[in-house]
Amino acid sequence: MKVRSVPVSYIIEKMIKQELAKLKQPVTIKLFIDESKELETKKTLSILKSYKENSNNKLNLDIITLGKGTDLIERYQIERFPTILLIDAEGNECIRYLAAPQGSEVKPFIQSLQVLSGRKNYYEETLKTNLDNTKTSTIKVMVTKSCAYCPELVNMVSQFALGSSGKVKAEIIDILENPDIGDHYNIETVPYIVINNGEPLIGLISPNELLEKILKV
Amino acid sequence: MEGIDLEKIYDLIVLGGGPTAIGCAIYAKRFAMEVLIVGKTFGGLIATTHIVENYPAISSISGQGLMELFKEHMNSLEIPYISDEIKNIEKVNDHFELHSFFQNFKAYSVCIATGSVRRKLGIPGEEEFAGKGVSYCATCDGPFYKDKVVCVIGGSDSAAKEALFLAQNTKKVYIIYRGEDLRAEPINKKRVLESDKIEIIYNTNVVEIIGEGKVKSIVFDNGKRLDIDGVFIEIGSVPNSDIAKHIGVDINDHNEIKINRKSETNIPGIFAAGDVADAPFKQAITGVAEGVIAAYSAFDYVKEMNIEY
Ligand SMILES: Cc1cc2nc3c(=O)[nH]c(=O)nc-3n(C[C@H](O)[C@H](O)[C@H](O)COP(=O)(O)OP(=O)(O)OC[C@H]3O[C@@H](n4cnc5c(N)ncnc54)[C@H](O)[C@@H]3O)c2cc1C
Repeated sequence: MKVRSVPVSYIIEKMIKQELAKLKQPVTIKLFIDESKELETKKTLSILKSYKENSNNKLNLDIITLGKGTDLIERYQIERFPTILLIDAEGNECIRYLAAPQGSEVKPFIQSLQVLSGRKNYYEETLKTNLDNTKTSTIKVMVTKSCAYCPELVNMVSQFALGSSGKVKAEIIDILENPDIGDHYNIETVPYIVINNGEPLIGLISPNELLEKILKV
Repeated sequence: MEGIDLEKIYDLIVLGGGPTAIGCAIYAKRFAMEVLIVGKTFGGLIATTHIVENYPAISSISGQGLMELFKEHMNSLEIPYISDEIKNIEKVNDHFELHSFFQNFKAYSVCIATGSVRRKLGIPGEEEFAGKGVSYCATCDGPFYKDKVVCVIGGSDSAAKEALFLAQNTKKVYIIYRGEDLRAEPINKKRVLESDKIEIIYNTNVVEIIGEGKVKSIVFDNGKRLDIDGVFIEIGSVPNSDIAKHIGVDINDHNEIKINRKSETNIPGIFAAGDVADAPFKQAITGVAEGVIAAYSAFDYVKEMNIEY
């Protein structure tokens, strides 16, 4: 018997179109590239260009090339290429992607774009009250493309970053594309979260558990 | 937050983000009910499996792909979904109030489709090496074991499928099962038996996981040791029924919520379905069916309250 498979890529393409149509205000994505890394650059560029094409001109893609945009590379402390930054209207970094927003990572990426574009953030009120007197934390979320639980966690941490008035910064890292980071933390499971280089959190956690951990740090 | 009204009393709030919850909400929405889904994680347990070949009308799809289809259907009906965990439910006058750390919600009826969490073995080394060689999700952690030797503990269909997935990239996969014969679907059992990378060790329990920083070996109840890089535990799951217990919903000895053929619990207005409930078969399609029945019953329940739509 020939097994017929449903092409998931088709569903995702459709979702990209539908969801990007909901963008309200323009949003800027900054993409930092190193032209000598031809393959990675080409892949990331083509993904982000397809987002832009489907956004009714609501997405601006700002491409900064290593060697040509030194001040921005310094300002945002870019050490790896490609790096994708989601920034707020004032140009502050909210979410850093060392991962390609494709496959199941499309959903959290677009949800972040929607919030940056004016959609209300579910966690915002509670985060503002709770994080008022805390220092800024950086949350690294280590993922792989095949990880089923990762997109949900990426979304949660991203929404925290967007709803925390700068108190939380998110970094989404594909550790198969950045194996040295995986090795550094000795990671053998994902999702794997590190808040300010503290003790790792492994597996799925709920939003209230995440908030508790941030407050403890 | 689009389309979510925290002041409103919803006709039905569905708890869960798995197939059961989405199936329930799709029917409720088509009954013109005001429905909201609150799920701790979207996708549920089925999203963790690499292949589903028994969901009618879809010959073959990944678990995540299947849940993308569910999401597409949910979005096309504009059913609001919130990522959050409900901590408790209380009855207030004619409705229920549901509390999470972030928000409170109100509904005339509630469907609990909170599924289950993976069961732990409870042996020395399991907790110590969690994330350092001990895993409960092959699709999540399988890629870390390329060309390595791993084992799957368990003998169910899920265990067989996890072993087949791991065999794609690893050097060798042992299935360690306390029984005499795999309980997998015949088609998956055949695939396992035909795989030259999978070896089954029957009638054996793992009693300890040993390592240094990461897993090195496992110890069997017959005293023998096996050197291993990764241990995947697939021995069933424990229902997420605490929330139901707190409001007085009847639970059986296995911690499953007792439901009748209308997916009703002992508390009027509270329904339950899927892996958290006491039906004997736990599959996506059976969960969806129970969820759909819960939607019908919730519709009747709310209609009898004479609430205007
Ligand atoms: C490895 C593996 C392979 C499998 N393969 C198949 C297969 O091929 N075919 C098949 O039909 N079935 C398969 N199953 C079984 C299938 O996954 C389950 O029967 C199905 O997922 C049950 O759906 P559910 O929605 O009832 O529960 P779940 O899928 O467990 O979903 C429960 C949801 O509730 C959420 N939740 C929990 N507590 C709360 C709370 N307090 N508030 C809000 N949300 C909450 C969870 O986060 C989760 O999203 C497999 C299972 C495993 C483990």
